[in-house]
Amino acid sequence: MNRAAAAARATEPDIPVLSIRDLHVSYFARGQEIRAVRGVNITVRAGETLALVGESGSGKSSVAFSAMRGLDAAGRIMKGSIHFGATDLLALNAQELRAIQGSRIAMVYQDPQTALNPGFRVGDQIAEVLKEHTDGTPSATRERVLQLLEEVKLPDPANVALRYPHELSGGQQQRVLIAMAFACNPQLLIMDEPTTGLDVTTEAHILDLVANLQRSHGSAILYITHNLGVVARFCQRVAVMYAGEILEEGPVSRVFSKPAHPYTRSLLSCIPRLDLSKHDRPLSAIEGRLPNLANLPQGCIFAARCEFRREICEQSAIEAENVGKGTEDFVRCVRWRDIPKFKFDRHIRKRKPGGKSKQAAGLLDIEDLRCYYQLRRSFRDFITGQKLRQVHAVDDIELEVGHGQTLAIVGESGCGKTTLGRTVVGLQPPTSGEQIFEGDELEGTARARSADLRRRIQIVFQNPDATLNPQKSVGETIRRPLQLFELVPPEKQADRVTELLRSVNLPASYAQRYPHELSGGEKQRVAVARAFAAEPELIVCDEPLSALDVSVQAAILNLLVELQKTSKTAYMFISHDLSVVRYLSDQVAVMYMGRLCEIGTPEDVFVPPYHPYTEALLSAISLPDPLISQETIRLEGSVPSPVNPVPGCRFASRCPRKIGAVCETEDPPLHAFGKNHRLYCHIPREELEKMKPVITYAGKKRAVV
Amino acid sequence: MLKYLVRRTGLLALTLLGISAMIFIIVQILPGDAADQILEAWVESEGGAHDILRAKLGLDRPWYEQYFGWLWGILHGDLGRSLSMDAPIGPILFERLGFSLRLAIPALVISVVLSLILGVIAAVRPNGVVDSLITVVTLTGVSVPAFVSGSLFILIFAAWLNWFPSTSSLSEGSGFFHWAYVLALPVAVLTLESLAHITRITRSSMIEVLKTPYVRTARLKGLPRRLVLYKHALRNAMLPTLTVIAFNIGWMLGGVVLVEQVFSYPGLGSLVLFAIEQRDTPLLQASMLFVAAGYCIANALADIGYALLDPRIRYT
Amino acid sequence: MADTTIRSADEVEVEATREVTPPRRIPRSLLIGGGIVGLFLVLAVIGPHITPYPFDKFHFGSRLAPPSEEFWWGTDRYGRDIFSRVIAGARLTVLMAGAGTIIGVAVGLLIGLFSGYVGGWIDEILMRLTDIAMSFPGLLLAMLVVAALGSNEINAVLSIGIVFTPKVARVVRSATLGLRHVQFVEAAEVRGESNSFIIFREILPNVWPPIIVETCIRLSYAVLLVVSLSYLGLGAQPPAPDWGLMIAKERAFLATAPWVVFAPAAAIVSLIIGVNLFGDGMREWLAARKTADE
Repeated sequence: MNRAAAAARATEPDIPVLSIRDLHVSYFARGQEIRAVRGVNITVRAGETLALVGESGSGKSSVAFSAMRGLDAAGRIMKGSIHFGATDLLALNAQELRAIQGSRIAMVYQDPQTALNPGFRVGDQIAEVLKEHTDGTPSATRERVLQLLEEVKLPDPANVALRYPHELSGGQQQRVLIAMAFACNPQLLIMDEPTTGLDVTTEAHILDLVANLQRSHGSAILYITHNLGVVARFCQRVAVMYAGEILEEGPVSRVFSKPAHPYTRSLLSCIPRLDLSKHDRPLSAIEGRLPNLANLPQGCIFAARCEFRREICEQSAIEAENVGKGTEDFVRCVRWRDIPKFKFDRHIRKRKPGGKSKQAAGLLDIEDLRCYYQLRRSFRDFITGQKLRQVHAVDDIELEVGHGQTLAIVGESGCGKTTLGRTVVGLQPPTSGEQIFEGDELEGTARARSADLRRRIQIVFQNPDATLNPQKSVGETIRRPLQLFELVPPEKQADRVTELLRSVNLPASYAQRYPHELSGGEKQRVAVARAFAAEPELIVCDEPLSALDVSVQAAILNLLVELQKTSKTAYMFISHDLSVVRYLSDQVAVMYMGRLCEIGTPEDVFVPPYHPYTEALLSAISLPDPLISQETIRLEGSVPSPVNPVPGCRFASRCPRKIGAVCETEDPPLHAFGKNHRLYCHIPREELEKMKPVITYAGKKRAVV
Repeated sequence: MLKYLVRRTGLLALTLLGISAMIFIIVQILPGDAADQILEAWVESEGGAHDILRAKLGLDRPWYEQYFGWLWGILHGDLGRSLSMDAPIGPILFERLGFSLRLAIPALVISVVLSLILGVIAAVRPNGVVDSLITVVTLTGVSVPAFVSGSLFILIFAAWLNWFPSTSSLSEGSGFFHWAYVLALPVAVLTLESLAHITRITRSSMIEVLKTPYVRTARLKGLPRRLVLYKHALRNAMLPTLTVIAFNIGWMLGGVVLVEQVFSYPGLGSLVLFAIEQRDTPLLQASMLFVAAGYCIANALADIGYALLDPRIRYT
Repeated sequence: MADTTIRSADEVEVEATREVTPPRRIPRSLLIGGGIVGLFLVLAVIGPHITPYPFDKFHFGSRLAPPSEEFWWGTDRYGRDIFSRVIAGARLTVLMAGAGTIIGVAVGLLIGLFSGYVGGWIDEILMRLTDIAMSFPGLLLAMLVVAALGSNEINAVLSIGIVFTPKVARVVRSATLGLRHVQFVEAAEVRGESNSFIIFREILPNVWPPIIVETCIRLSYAVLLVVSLSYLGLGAQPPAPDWGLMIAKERAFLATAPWVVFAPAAAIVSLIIGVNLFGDGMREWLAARKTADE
């Protein structure tokens, strides 16, 4: 079949752009067959966006790559059919397939940095697609490349075309990949977690952009993601995948309001939302692990982790049952009619001025903290006379952590929140400023601090795979603080380790295990246990959840809340996720480029008056609730370089509410609202007070919080 | 890029300085000094003769004067005088270098071209028949010392088949075919070894690169296989290969010792060996410096090539 | 174990879901290479005791005798039994290559760990020094060192150690640098652990895989260096039954009595192939183990 014929058939009206029937994909590793995808049916029509949502290991990416015959060598399509329009993709030979790939079907990838070839200019990488699939002259191709770069809203396309990937930011790289995908007006666009790893403000831009392009090109989109917020905001239909099967599919409005499958229900109620706080209810976590795909259970694949399971669930294969009209609104559960109705507990709170003013006595006082570091002056720099370059990672921060409270530090990558946490635990000596911990001044490095102070401040890190020494057993890891700080006599240490393991909901037998035998969530639990072993008064949590699936994340959040209740340990919780911060914190500090923008209780910070940056962040986040309405405020440009920054308000260069030259010359003044709400901005107080809520429930006036 | 060039050249100069110091120090440890070597001939030398000769050779000066004197000489093109041959070192060294290059350059060109092709072919289907064959051949190639393969080549092609001469003396005849005839065996030995090293690294880095997301991107753009392999993958897979090629240049410049020894070929390597045997310290110092400098320059060129291929390096 | 007798229901369930990892396949090259290396190790230990003749016994009646029932691999120009010499020579080569590698790896390991962990100017200076040392082709540097110290087995071993140290230091340093800011090392710093605890208890156990791979690579180069040095007359001296030396001394009779070269050459090549196979297999195995862990 030639290219033109394929294209013609794909555009016939009633035929869906993509239709996958009974797809089975297996991976073969060490003599085992891993049945990653089983019996998946998917239909995507022109102009429509179907979300394929699932946690890691659900097989969603395998479906995505199958849809354009792009599985790598280890994966094989065992059974099923894939039709692109009327074209049977599985029947095409390599050459016919190539004619479709990249032109009629295009893909946008998860990690833009690795998806672009580091050795070629981005313009050339886009031009390559055009050269392969169109017959344009070189000058026409060049013209089209610039036009595409313009279309994806990259400033100065002629210049960008000549850059190498590493010279662009993550968001810009993803725009380049999107331009590449739209180069030949594809009928089907497959997006594999295109915004994972990008900051929320960038994500919002990318989603707006793709929505616009889809409108003008009429492409069908298969959108792969783990983020239910993005689904609610961006897609019309959603298919929920778990362990290789689609458990539920339907219109977004139906699935989010009346989820039928217990798994979908658990997913929806395990995500922290902007109107949910730890005082409302614990999050519902999903216990247990993914089943072993090399040795599948009979019956429902989710049964082992399902709170509503009965014997019948595990007896035979589960058929899809229609929930609404048509075959594209179904659930794969035998008990979906019997289980209790799902209730989405939306909260609308009356704001008390001044917030809940039960500010606890101070534990850690940070005064005028600055943390500048010089970019390493290498021997080579010395020879070539390279000037000193100073990064202002943390610049004049003042805040307080109360006894037994949680202070959340929130901001996008590069805002200095991680450096701030590292300074508190003594990994990064400050340039100036003071840290007073219960009357004791903290030295810059951990080693200079007394053993007792070191014991009282602990840290939990971000990446569960790096947080534990792979060569030490869990028991050794947890026992070490007990030995080092002489907290427990040697003969009782084993008992204490058991006790600590139990406190993080791990069985005592885990003491003998090594990190590679644990899942990500379990590793993070061990890290929490290690921190609590020292019986600290403050734990710095540096994005401890960002690498975990939502269901696991919920369990760790619940655990942190629980442990804080019993131990009265304070947390300094560093995160980029506003919903998580809302759920966990008593105080929130918003940072941008090393400076504090705003600090207060969540009920203060997430409702007007806002700092313009907080306002933009709130507008950018994706919330898993189709009933939410959000103002559209988009930040232009990208975060400026933190090397030798300019004076004035750091946010001035991107601020949509900038009032004038004063923003760029003078440090913003402090506005205090109520007892605890501080806000640094040049905008007059009256103006700030007139701000409107960014996030509301459709038809309501009050801010969602 | 210019900035990078300047920086890399500066580093090269510094390294060369360090190398000269290191050679000087090691040679100073050599038992006895040059005066002993010369006087060895006269079994019963007068006590005075030794001192006079030492003064004449400048060996009575403090070590730093000797070192900087040597450096100063090199910078002015004076490489010193050979004790055993009683002649200026410069011309000898350049003549020997010429001979060595006649071996090294053909071997390098053949092995680089062949091994890039073989490496890619092997990497396309790892553990396939072709790959297994290439793996066995290259494994043998890196495992056979040059003097062993040289000896076997002489046995087979010179002694038994009588196709090529067993020694590669260059005394008579000239013209391309004569050269090719004389040098065929040593070049083959050198090529085999360097081919094996470069193929192995090309294969393994190609296998790595073929797994990267950007190669998948290129594939799913609908590009033909040839473009994906040779444009997108090989370019990046060349990076580690370049380093090994540079390593091979160094090895060929100096490591030809063995090949030159086996084929009694008057190159730079056999000169070093000669200097060691004769305890000719000025000659040893100068020839070692030559070899090491050649190696450093090859490394610097490889780094610059790296920067050309990988734009990320240029700007850091 | 008192605490294992009472197990909650959820604990049993967690046990049941524990991933059953299928047994790791040991690469074939690791087995074959290990077998060859093992054979040479055995020869190194018992070789001199099992030879049919003492390796230095002259049989003047049968000089350059071809392989026969009496002399399995023939004799050399003095009528010495080549089979006995090759078997007896295993100890020398294995010992020299092994000792040289151990020196290089041990010293390089310490320098690399220290340099990588401490960083700063000390690291910069140490690395410039290794740059300089690595600017010599290995064999030439070894030749220079032997020339300075004198030609014998001990100095040949020392020279191999000197040639290897900077290369091993580089590898270990980059592995250490990679772990320098990994979170479990930083966690140890926050606890206030001593430098030596962090270097030897936190970092070292995790740099073993690259060190093992590097050691295998070094070992094969060490054998190459040992036989090359002795071939050039800069290693073991006659009448030692060194393989390189045997080839150098008997090469003149190559055309008439090829066995004088065949036997030691076969020994050299099979040992190096064995080490290389072992190294390749080890690398493959460690890489597979790493991906399985992740």
